[in-house]
Amino acid sequence: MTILGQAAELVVSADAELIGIVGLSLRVSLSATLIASLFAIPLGAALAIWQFPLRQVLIVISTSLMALPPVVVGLIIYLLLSRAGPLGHYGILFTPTAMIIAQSVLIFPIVLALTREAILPLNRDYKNLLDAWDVSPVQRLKTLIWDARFAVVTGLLAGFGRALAEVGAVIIVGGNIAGFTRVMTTTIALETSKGNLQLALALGIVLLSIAVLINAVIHWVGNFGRKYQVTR
Amino acid sequence: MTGLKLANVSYSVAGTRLLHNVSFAQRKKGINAILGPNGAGKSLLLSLIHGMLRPETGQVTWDGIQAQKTKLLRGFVFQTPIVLRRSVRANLAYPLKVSGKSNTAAIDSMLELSHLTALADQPAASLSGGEAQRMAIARALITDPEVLLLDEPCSNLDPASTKLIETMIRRFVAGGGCVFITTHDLAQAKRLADVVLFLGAGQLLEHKQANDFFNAPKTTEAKAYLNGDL
Repeated sequence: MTILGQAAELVVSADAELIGIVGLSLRVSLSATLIASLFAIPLGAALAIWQFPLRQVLIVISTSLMALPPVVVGLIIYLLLSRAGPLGHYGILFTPTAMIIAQSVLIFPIVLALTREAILPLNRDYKNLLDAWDVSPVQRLKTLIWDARFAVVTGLLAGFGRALAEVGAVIIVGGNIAGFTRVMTTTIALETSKGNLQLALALGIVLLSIAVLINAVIHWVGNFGRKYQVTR
Repeated sequence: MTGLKLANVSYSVAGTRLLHNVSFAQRKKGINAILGPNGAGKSLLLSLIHGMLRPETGQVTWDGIQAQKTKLLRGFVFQTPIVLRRSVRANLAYPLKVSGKSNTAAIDSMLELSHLTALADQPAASLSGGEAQRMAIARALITDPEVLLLDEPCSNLDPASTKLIETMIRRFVAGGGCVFITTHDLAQAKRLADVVLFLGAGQLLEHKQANDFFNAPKTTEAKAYLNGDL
């Protein structure tokens, strides 16, 4: 049987090790996406809606953070969480929690920038109406986030995709410990270097399938959202 | 006098004075048309009357209270209808939600008034220009305002849509409401207006009963405007 055939068999037979790795990957990346979005969506919306001191500085910083090399993020989180670091006493280095933190940091600027981009034109459209109704700041934030929901969800999916495909940061802060912090990308890197191409390829198939699925959902959400956009 | 009062109201944008010492008083009833050529300051005056804008100098009051403090008592409809990215029904529900109310009967009644019942659950973005403007008026009326301010609500609409909107306006006034409307459509102003406020270059040049204005305009600007020369 070819390597590709063996890899396909691992996927089809729902190999326990493979399922464990995929499950951990999804758990870490979904958690990171959720945590990042809790902060990034309101902040991205606020940057789109209001003028305040240091707004431009925040925009430049957040945009620059999008280009952060994952290994640098991994290194910084490692230094913070290592025993000698300021957060070392929590003892979370080389745990899934550390991986979630690293991925949250990585995708925060992506979700923030995409949210800001989605809400900026909507705020221009709505401003006069919301001003006329004296809509409170919190209500304004909620209204704009809700009405930009399709674009915001697209941003979240992009962030999730980025988290899932990330390898540099999680390998540093997770340690790639078998059965504990080994996720799809780190396993692919390790198993390839060991010559165990079946598992690496099987995980590659799963990762690629998830990426295709995410893009399909992004496409569908985008098309659905366009029904609510005025094109006159 | 109760109602609207403007005292020496001026407004500038980027150093250019767009309204000069506008003063007038108007009872809170009937349909008041604000007329004037492009750039005369009609939309600006409407926004100041609503309370959306604060005058640079002077005062705008309704029943003796600063307009900005009571702006929720007035509905505003913009020239280009602002459509929330929701269904038609959710668009109508929004002002109620913002003011902490929920009134399904009012929504159904407004859908009926605006002839949009069949489209209630469609995305509002799919409405035609006339339908969107009717929805915007219904949305402005749903909180039961005392005054409705309409900024050229029928520009670019076909006669049938215009007629439906005029019917909505008349029904609101028949129920005791007061309307301020800007328009370039003199036929519409003649059909609807009880009182005309005529602006020219940011100044209030005439303020009189509509019949008097159309039959015997006093200023040369108003005469030129009615002749189509301004």
